[in-house]
Amino acid sequence: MRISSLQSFVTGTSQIIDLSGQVNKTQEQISRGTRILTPSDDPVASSQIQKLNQENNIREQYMDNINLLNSRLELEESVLDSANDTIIRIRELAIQANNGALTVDDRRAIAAEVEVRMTELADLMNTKDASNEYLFSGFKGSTVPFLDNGSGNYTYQGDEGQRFVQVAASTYIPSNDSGKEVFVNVSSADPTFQAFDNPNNRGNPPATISTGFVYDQEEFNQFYPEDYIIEFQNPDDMTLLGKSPSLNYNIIQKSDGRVIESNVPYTSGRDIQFNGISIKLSGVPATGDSYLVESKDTQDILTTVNRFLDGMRSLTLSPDDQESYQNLISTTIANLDHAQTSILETRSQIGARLNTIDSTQALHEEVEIVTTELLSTLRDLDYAEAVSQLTFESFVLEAAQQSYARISGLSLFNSL
Amino acid sequence: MGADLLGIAVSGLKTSQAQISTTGHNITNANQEGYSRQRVDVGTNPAIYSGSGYVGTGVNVQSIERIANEFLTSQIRLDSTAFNELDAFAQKVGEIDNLLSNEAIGLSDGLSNFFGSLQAATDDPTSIPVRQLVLAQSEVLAQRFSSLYGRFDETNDIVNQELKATASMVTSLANGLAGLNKAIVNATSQGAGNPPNDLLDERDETLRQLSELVSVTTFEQADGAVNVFIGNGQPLVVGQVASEMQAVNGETDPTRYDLVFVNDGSSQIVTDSITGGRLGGLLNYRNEVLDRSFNELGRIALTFTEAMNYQQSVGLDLNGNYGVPLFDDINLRQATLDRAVPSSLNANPPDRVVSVAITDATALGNSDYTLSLTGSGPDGYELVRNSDGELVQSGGLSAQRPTSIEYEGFSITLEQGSFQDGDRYRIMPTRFASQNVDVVATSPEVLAFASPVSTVNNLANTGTGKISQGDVLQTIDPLTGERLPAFSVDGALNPPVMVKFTSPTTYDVLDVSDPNNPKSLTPPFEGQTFIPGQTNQIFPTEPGQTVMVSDGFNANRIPSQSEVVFGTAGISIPNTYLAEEITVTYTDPVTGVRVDQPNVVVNAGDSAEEIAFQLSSRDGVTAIASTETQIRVSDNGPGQLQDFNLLLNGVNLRNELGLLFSPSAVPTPVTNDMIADAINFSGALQQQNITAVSNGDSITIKASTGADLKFEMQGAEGDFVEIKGDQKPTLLTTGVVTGGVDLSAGGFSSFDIDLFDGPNGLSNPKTIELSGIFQTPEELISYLENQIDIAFDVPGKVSVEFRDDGTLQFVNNDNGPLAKMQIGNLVGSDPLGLSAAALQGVVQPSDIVRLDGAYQFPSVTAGVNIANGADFSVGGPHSFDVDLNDGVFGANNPVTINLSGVYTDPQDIVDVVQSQLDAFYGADKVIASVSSEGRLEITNYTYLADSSTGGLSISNNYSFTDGTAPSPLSFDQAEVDFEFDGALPLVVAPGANTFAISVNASPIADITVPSGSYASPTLFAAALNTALVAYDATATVSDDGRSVLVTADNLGEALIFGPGAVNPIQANPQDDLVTHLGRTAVITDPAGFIGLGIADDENIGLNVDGVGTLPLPLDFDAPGYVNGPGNPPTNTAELVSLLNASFAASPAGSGVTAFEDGGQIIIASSNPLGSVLITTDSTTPLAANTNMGSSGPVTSVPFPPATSGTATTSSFNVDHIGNFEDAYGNPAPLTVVTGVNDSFEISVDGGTTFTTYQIPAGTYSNLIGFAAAIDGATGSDVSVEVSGSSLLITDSNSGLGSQVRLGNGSFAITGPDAVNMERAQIQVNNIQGSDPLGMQVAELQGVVRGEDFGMVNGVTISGEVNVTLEENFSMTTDAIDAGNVFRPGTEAVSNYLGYTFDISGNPDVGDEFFVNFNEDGVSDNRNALKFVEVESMQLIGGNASFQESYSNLVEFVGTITAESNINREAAGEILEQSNALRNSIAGVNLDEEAANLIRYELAYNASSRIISVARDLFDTLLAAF
Repeated sequence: MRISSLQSFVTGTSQIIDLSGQVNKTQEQISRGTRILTPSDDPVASSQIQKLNQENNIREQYMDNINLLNSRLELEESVLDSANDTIIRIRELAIQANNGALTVDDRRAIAAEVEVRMTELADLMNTKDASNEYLFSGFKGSTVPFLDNGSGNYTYQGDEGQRFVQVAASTYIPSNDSGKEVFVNVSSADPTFQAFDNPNNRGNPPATISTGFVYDQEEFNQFYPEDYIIEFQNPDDMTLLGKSPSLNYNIIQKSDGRVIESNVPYTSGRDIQFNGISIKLSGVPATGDSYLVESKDTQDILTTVNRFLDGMRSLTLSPDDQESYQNLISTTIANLDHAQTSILETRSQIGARLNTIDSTQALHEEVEIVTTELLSTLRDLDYAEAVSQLTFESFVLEAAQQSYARISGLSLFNSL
Repeated sequence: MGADLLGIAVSGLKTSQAQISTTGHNITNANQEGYSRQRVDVGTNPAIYSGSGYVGTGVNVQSIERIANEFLTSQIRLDSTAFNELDAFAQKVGEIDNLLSNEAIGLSDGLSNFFGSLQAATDDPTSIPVRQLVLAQSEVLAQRFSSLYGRFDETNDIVNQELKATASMVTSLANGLAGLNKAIVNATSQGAGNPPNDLLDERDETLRQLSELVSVTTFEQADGAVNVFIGNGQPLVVGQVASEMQAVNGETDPTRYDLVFVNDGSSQIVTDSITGGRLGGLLNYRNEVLDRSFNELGRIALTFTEAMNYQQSVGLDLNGNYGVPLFDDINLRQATLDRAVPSSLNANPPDRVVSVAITDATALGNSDYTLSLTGSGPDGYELVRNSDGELVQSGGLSAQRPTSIEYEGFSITLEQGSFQDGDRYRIMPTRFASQNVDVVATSPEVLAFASPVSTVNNLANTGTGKISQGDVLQTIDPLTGERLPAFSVDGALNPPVMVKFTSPTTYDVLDVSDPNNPKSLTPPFEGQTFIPGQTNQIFPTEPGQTVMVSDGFNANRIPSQSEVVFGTAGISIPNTYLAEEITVTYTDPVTGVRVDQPNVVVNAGDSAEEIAFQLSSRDGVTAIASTETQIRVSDNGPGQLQDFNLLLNGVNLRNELGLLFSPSAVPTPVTNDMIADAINFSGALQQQNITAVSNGDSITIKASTGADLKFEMQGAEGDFVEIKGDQKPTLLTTGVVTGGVDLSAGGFSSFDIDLFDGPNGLSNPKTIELSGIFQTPEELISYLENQIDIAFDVPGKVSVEFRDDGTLQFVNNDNGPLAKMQIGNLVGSDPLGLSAAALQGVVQPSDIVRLDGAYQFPSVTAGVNIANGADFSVGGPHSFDVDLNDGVFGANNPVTINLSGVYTDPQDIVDVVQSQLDAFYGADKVIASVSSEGRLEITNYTYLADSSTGGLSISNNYSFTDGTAPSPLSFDQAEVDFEFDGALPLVVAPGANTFAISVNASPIADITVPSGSYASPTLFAAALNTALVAYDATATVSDDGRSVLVTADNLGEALIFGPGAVNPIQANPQDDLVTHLGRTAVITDPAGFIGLGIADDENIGLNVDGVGTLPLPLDFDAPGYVNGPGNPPTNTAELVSLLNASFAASPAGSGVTAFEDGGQIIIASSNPLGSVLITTDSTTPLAANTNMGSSGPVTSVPFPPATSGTATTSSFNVDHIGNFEDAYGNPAPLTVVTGVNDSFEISVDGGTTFTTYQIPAGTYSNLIGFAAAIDGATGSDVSVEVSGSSLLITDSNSGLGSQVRLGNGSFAITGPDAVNMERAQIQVNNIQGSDPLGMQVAELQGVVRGEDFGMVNGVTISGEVNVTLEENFSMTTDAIDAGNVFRPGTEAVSNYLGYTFDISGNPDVGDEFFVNFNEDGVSDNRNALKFVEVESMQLIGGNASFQESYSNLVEFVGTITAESNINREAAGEILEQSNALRNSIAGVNLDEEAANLIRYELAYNASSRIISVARDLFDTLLAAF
């Protein structure tokens, strides 16, 4: 075939350029240690690589979450452990108090320790975590969960919020337990009630309601589970002849609004008794202020302890009081047992969570190894192959250069 | 011959020269691109015939030709075009390929880091540093979006520049070609047809260069010129004329240059038809890669920002506020305008405004679109997807502006302007989006990591149901951009809701804004079905589901008072629903086709339950019916057997009560509580799912399945049942208040608002004080509302609104069943125009219907209590007449009832009377009974045909023959109280420790207190009981263990302590017990103090501390007595105060106090050794039923101050309601004694003359009678009405300026007195004051007729139907009247709240679950978790996550790059081969040329030799001469 001179030069040089391009690329692959320099080198592999990298990032975040979660749950568990110890001590005291031979002074001595233990328990229930959030107030991290209303009546201020933390693609582990679930929702030996101030009360300072107690369980059970509202009426409604208008309240059945006692004159600190319930209001309420007495078959731990404390302090040695005292102690012991059960349940849940975390962590570690291997397969360069290829390519390039030089030197004009 | 030889040689030389030249030409052009080697065509000269043959004449040059192959030349052009296209493409795409995968610029790392920071936030949502990191990472990500956009934009600019440069190269090449054509044509004609080889080469080369730029087709003319065409045959070069190619700002997008072909002054856009070459490559790159990259990135940006901003919007930030956008809104005004670019070809004027809003980023594609307005006029459109040129949507346009066109994820709005046929717009929903990702959140607190809702399981629940934490779907209504109602209030859920289980399988969702008063949601969400044991989603998650509520609760559906049906029991009382037909239609969301289902036919009077059942049988419809109403019963009649019957759906509730209690013991009057209990007790009503709840004041009755509630009522006069709808009481509107108001001037100081919220709906006005200056209505309203709240002491009872017409409106928010409102008692000038409101009078809730008692069984009632029996054994005969007027034509038919003997049981008296009545009239005609107050009632049970004459009367035709009174009985359960001081044992010394007991008025026995030493009060009581065993009396130990009480056991017995005429009420035994007993004495008969019978001349003696009798002269003339001389105490307090004054005045009274306790008066000594003994010298025992015999209380009724206003109504308060009663509650007349100023004046119709009317003096039995007397006195000028306890005097002309003005005087109303009683002609011993049956009162009641016997008032309440329509279903009705189930124009409203939650497990009846605002939920990370979830959600186009979508883009670009590289190499190879082929033919091979050179040189030399030979020949020849 005829070869034009121009063509032979052009072909020669363009081949050399191509070859040196290949050598360059192989060299760059070697120096960067990867076989894919741009996605176009292997579009499929490069999109897989991107995906695997992303998975790795997420997994690292999961591992961070796991570490934080671990410490959080361990903190909660240690607090619950302490709370349990305190309850055990209070239970011992209750058993100690369950002795007919005790004098009023003996009881007072026990009560003194119970009070200390109760404060200790309340402090534990109001524990804060490292971020200065209350451990047991659900989502209301900045709200103290168990607050004394001033009458020794602790009410739960938090909510039922349970925070979940993601530890794997579809695994969310609770990182807290609401105080309501652990300490408040404790089943009670007998139907009981809890008394609440209405937060909208306008008395300044508002009158507060005590924890109260069931003074006649049979009568109380008869009306259970009716709730009641104690609502202060207009003083002018007091129809007592010859008396000036005075504070008075209605006791209202919550289910249908029926008034079961109307316009009862109010005296601060005096026992209010109805339907087996005995309760005290202290302070100066405003007209329209109301208090809720909610019947339930659960009783929170602090109420249990507080009622026990009140009973030890106020009940005398009279036969009637003795009977109430015996009832109180047996109910208290039963309720403390329930409280321990509740705490134990929560602790076993925490244990289960920690187990899940452990296994998830192990899984993540395994997957990480596999992913790394896969990434390496997709991305990493086979050096032996690359180096030998480089050697070969440079050899070819050299040959091409040499042959070009030789061929370009050939010309008939040399012979002229 | 020689010449010939020379000629031949010369021809050889010439030829060789030409050949050598050509070879040289070839050699020198060897490096010239496109040069074709040339060759000399040599021809042999024609031979000359010489006789012996032909002799050759040499050689000649015929032509010089190029060695060129036309086929190869055009092949190279094609291959160049192909190669350069791919080359340009690959070069550009490689740049993006590098860009996207670059870790520092690409999106992938940015997304990973952003979501990583969010992960950290889920663990510690309150941490500010963690939040700060999230913000920082959003900034980084936003920068990545915009820097990627920037790089794409630069690439686009470069493409534009290249297009421009290339187009101008095309133009210059075309010009060159035209020039070459000219030269070639000239040269060809000049060269006698010889080809101008070099010009042809040059033209070929120019064409090749052109084909590198763009694909061309050529056509060679006969004259040698070549015509060149590009695109769709655009003539770039024709002959010697060239056209121009330009790159200019794009027609529909200035940033994308268009190619324009300019020919002869006219230009044509050819972008779309240009293919091949560099131009084609650039355009391909732009269309296939760059646009897609722009759009894909933009789509990710839009979806991402929308998702993040959405997530923000459904969350709460650290401060408890709803989340604000994290990034700029995707539909900022400028962005929406940028998305639509008008074609530069659109007709003038350029006044159209088109915007494109993103409606759903997840539905977006990644193409641009072209919108064309087509058809005749701008009423049709076509939407073409640019990426594939497909027509994706077309349709008609409304002529209205703005009008919108919706396509996948975006909405094009033609806002305004003169849109014309042919207008075109480039629609770029996604192109610019990644440029506009800007973080707008500034502080870390605003990141919304908490959820706005918080759910609560009520701990008092008895079931195992659990509520989930709740999901917020939307807080903002996408249609309006406003917050959804549920989230419209900051810091609160509006309203907070409660799920209350009405059974284990049904629940109501209620509004608990007021926790003590849950109410229905709007629209209602009640009677829902729950599947136990499963997870039940409570609220709908899609806005498409709608709810229609019938107006069954509307006032129109509660019959008006005039529609109350009156008739005999069992009458038909239909509900008032009219007939209608309801159509349920399904509309296909895609095709818009509507399908009607068969009509639901509602017949007139169908119950809501039936209608709901029918509707539910249609597809897409769930209908629930319920009926609810509130009633309130008022039974003021005494407890007649048949009195106050209320029937609900035919069930007589009194019968149910009879079952609950016992028929004879049904308490009277019937109360709301009892009616509610009766309803709940009734099995028949239970089957109809009817339940009732009473709060004492009213009863809420509910039929949960929507049954009609049919009420029928029978009762006595004054009895009524009020039935309430749910409309609020009407509003009162004032006169116009303009601008600022000065309440400080004009002495305007107060007005009253009365909500009639006193007991039993009594008037209870509150005075609102006014002062101050107010500049704006807002200030005024705020002030007024504050004053009103202060006055009512409960906030929000009445609110004030400022209306558009400038008036103030008072809104009664009190939802009591009888809520009504009145404004009155205006004091001072009236800058607020309150008189207008006052003139509106008492505004009642408009939907109360009242069923009044039908005067069914009027009874006459004796006034004295017979509960304790009576003694007719003394004197007599005792008798009275009862006349039933049942003689012929109602003539009198009296019977005389005779009484004798002693009765201790009131029922015995009733029986005696009844038996005589029955014997005369027959059974069940006239019934005697005893009322709850212990009074004898005689009731007419006879219905006479001629009602005008029928009646029952009692006359007092009995007398006592000997003029003595029947002996009164003392029936109190008197008590003797032995009180101890607690010290034991209790020693009773022997002695005369006696007390007396009288049983059943039998002779008095002395009981000796048993002496001895008792270890406890119980033993003492036992000893006393032994002594008392013969008498029906018992001694018991009191609750406090400190007293022993002796009590007579039976009704009718009396304990009279001590014998003798003077009856010492000896509350304590003798001296020996004094140390331990009896330090108090009790005066019983508490509230009825008036009945104590203490006469003016009576004395009560008091023996204190055993010292002797302390005279206690109840001498009401004593100085210092509170009421002044001659006035006995009128109430217990006064008596107590009097007693204490007496004790204080005497040394013997030292340490003795009287006080009131539970209605008793207790007199107590503080001396531990003390005792108290009360004696009386009265012959009248202290009994409850003794009249005081003196004037009753006097009530002074002051007139209100004269008013100077222009009211046409005035009123005054009589402080009394209903019938006037005496001290026993018996009807008694009212005596009005008028004074000088007891008058009122009326001016009629603005006249200045006032007519004066006197208050008529006289005796009236009730307010109505009194009002009638005033009315009678004033003639037709004035009307008088009774309103509550007030009389309203109204000018009946009520014209402009009418006034009623009351005088300043007062008048007195006196109660019944002894004188009036005498007028009853009953011979009564006034000292005894006893009329055992109180017949004088009965007589005063006159003739009572029984005209409405057996009649009932009835009304039916129909329920509401609550229809839930699934998405795409709609409902229409042919209703034309508000009387239909669905009011015409009733619209279905969405019941979508924007949030939902689940309840699982097995809840019990009454279990409650609450959803509140997540207040203070700082530790909540639920929304942060949702943020994190977004990372893996398949949001892009609904099928890829952000990362996947970005990876897809990277992979796409990578694949295209790899592919284009391969293609380019292949095309390069082909081009090279073609080149090689061409070169192998046309190219110059220097070796060959060198050889040729030698060859031609040799030929030349040879030809030279011929000359030399010829010369030699000539020389030889010449030499020969």
